[in-house]
Amino acid sequence: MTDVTPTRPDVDGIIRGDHKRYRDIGKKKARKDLEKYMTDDSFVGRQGDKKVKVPIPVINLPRVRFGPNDKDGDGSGGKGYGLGHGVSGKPGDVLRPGSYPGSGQGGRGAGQDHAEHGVQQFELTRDELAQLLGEQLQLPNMTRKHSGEMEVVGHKYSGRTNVGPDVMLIQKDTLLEALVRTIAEDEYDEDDPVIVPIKDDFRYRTIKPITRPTSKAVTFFLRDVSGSMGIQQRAPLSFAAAYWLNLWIEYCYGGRYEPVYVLHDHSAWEATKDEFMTAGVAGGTSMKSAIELVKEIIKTKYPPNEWNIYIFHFGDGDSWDIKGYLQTLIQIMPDIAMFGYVQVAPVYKGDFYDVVTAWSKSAAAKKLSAAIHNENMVRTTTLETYEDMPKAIKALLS
Amino acid sequence: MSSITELKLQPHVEAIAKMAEARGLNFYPTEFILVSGQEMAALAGYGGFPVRYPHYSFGQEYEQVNQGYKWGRSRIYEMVINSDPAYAYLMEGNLDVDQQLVMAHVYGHVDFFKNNIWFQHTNRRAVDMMANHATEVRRIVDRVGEEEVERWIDLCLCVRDLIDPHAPFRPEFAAKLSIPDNSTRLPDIRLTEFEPHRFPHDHPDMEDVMNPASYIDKQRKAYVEAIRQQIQFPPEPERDILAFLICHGKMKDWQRKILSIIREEEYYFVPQGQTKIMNEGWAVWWHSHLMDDYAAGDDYLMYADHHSGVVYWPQSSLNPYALGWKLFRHIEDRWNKGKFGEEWEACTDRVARMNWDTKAGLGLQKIFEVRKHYNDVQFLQEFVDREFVEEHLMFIYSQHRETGEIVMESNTWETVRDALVRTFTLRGKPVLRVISGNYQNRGTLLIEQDKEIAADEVHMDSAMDVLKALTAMWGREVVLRTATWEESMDVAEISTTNFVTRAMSP
Repeated sequence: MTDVTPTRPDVDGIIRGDHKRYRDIGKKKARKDLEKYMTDDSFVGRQGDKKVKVPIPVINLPRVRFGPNDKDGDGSGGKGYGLGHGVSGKPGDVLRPGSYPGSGQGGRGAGQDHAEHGVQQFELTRDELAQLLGEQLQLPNMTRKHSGEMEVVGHKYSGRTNVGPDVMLIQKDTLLEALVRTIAEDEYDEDDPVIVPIKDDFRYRTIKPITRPTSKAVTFFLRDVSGSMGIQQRAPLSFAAAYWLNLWIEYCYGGRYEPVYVLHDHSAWEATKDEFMTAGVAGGTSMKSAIELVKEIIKTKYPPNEWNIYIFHFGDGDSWDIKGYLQTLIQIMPDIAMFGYVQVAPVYKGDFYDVVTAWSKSAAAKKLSAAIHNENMVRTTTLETYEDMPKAIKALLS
Repeated sequence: MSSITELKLQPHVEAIAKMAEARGLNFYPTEFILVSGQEMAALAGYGGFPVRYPHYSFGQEYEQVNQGYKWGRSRIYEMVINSDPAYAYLMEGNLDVDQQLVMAHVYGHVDFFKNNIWFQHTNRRAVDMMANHATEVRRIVDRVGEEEVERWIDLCLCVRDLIDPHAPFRPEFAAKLSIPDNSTRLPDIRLTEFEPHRFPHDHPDMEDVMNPASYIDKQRKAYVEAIRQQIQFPPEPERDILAFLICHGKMKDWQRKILSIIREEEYYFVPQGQTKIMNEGWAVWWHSHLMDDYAAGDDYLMYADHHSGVVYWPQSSLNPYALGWKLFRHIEDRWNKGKFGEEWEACTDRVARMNWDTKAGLGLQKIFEVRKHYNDVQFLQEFVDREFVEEHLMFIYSQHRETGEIVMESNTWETVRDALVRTFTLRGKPVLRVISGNYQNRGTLLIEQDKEIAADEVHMDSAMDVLKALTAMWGREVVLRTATWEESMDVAEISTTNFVTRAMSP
C-alpha cells in the first residue's frame, strides 16, 4: 500500500529552461572569445579528446561594493585580507612566501577577495565548439561525395509478412485477407457475415531500417620536420592548426572521419598524432616525398570513390623539388576534395609558397580545379604566430 | 522526488524529532523529501525552492553546483526552507547514518528559523510566495517578451540589496508594496499659506485688469517652487531605496511589479544572510548533540567522520559551520562554568580565569537564549573573547594580490574580533541612503554612502554599472555621493554623465 503523495513539481525539468538560457549566453561569450582561444598558445594543449573547456567569466551582475580601484592603471591591486587560525606566530611573520613573476608560478592563492571576476570552466562538446567556429569564421559546409555505404538512421514498421509475434499482428489486414478468401471460396453469407481467419490469412508488421548514403572523410596532415624547420614554434603551431581543421571537418562529416599524419625530412613516413605534435629531426627537405607517400596511402587504404580526401601540408617553404611536387599534386587532384599549403615560418625560407600560390591562381590550375569541384581546390596561407590562426583557418576552409 | 512517508527513513524522522523536542528544540512541522543528485542541484540553483521566476542566473548556479559534484567538491547533503510547514531535502543514495545526521541538523535549522527574532517578520508561506512570483513574471514575459524581461531583471538584480534590513521591525513596513496608481514624483504642496501679492485699486471691476489670473498663477507657481526647494524629500534619509524607486520612480507598471517582487524576496532572504554563522553553528551543535546518542556502533564512526568533514576549518578561510559551532560550544562552556558577570569581567589573572568553575550549569539555557535574540554581528561582537581567539590561534593576515605572499598582520584578540565583526557588518558593501529625490532642484535622485559606518572607497566601475540601472528605474539623473580618495576633497559625486569631487560645506 502506498501513501498518497502530492505530486511534486518537476524541478529539474523546470530549471532546464534557465540552464539552457545560461548555456546559450555562455556559448555566445565563447563565440565572441573564439579568436582569443585560437590565438592562445596553450589552448589546444589543454583540451582532451571529447570535451572542450573554455574559460568564461562567471556572470556576476555588478553591485555597489567596496573595492580597490586600479588607480595606477597597471592592474596591481595591493593587498587583500583574510582571517586565519591554527598558527601561532607574531605580526610580520611570513606564513607563505610569495612567488614573483618570471619564476613560473602564479601568485593567486586562497583568500581571493569578493570574487566578482571568478572564472568558470565552461564545458562544450566538440560539436558545439565546431559550430561556434563555423559561425564566427563563417565557414561553409564541406561539399562531399558519398562513399557508397549506407547507414541506418532509424526504423519504420512498414513491412508485411505472414508470420510474426502476436504484438505485431495487423488485425485489419488479417481480416481483409480472410474476407477475400471467404468470398473467393463462395462461403460468404451476407445475412450471417462471419469471417474466420486461418493461418495463411494472418498478417504481421516487420521492421524495416531507414537508410541513407553516408559520406566519410580522411584528412592528411603533412609536416616538414627537417632541420630547416625548427621545433620551437612551428611544431605546436602546426599541431594547433591541425586541431582546428580536424574539428571542423569532423563536424561536417558527423564523425565519420579519420586524420592521417605524415612527417618528412628528405623522405616521408606515417606518424602518430603525438609525433606530429613534437617530432623534429635534422636533415634536408623533400616535400615531394611527402606528397608521394600520400598518393601511395590513398591508393592502398582510401579509395577515392569512397572517401573525401583533404590534404594540408605544413612547411617552411624550403624544398628541393617544387616542380615534382606540383606534378604529383596534379596527378592526385581528381581524387581529392581540397589541398592546402600552410607556410609556417617567420623567416622566408624558400620559394615553395610563392610558386604554389602563383600556380593555384593560374588559369590552368583554376580550369583543372573547376573541372573537378570548383575553382578553389588549392589554397595557400601563412601562419607565423598564433595571432595568424583565425585568418589561416578561414583561408583554408572557406 | 518522493516523500519518505512510506520509506524506511520515516521511523528515523519521527524518532529524531521526538528526541530533539525532548531536549528543548521547538520547530515547525517538517516534511522531508528524498531527491536525486540532479534534483538537488536544481533545487540548489533555485535557492531551495522547486520553482522561481525565469532567469539564467539560476541556470548558472545549477551548473556550478553540478560542476562542484564532478570535481568532488561541495556535495550538498541537505537543504531546508524557512517556511511553515518547513521542507527539507535529502539526497538519494546517502547512507542511513548520513540521512540521520541531516535530519538532526535540519531540526536545528527549523528551530532557528522559528525562534530567532530576526526571522519573525519573514513570510512563512514561502513556497507559495515563490510560486506566485514565478507565475506573475511568466505572465509578464508572455505579454512583453523574454528578452526585455530578462534585461529588466538583470537591472533589478544589480540593485537588489538596496534595502533596509531594519525596516521590518518598524510598524509601517510592508514587504509587499502596493503599487501606487499614479506615483507622485514630488510631494503635494499645500497652498494654505499662499498669499499672492495684489496691486491695489479702487474699483472691484478693476480686479481683473490689475491682478489678472495669469499674474496670480505666476506667483502661485513661484511659491510652489520655493516651497518645493525647501521641502526635504524624502523627509529623512531612506535606506530602503527600492521602496523609494517603486513609489516614485518612472517605470512601466510591469517593471515596477518585477522590482517589487525582487524586493519582497530580498526581504525574505535578508535574515538568513544576517545569521548564517549562528544558524549553521546551531544546526551542527544539534546534530552533534543528538547523534552522539542516536548513532550506535559502526554508525557512530561513520557519523563522526562525516561530521568532521562538515566542520573542517581550513587554515586560511572561514567555515561558518565550524566558527558558529565552536562559538556556541564556547558559550555553553563559559555559562556552565560561571565564566560571566562582573567578577569575571574584572578578573585579569589568566590562571584564575582558566580554572574558574562555579558549576553554574547554565550553558544550555544560555545558548537557547542566544539563538533567540542574536544575529551574527552581535554574536561575534559579544562572544568572541580573548580565550576564544587564543584557543583557536586566530589571526588576521594580508595577502599580496600578485605574489600571493601571506603575512600575519595581527593576532591581538580585540583586533581579530573587530575585524570579524567589521567583515560581517559590511559584507563588502557600503550602506547607501536616498538623501533627496529632487537634488539641485532638477528631479535628480541623490544617494549617499554612509561614511561613518565605513569610509572605504567604492569600486567605481561596478558603481557606474549600478548607476545605469538606477537611472533606468528613476527616469532621471541619479547621483551617487561617495567617499573619495582625492586628498583635499571630501566626496565624489558620480552619475552616468558626470564625475565631480568636492569638499562638503560644514
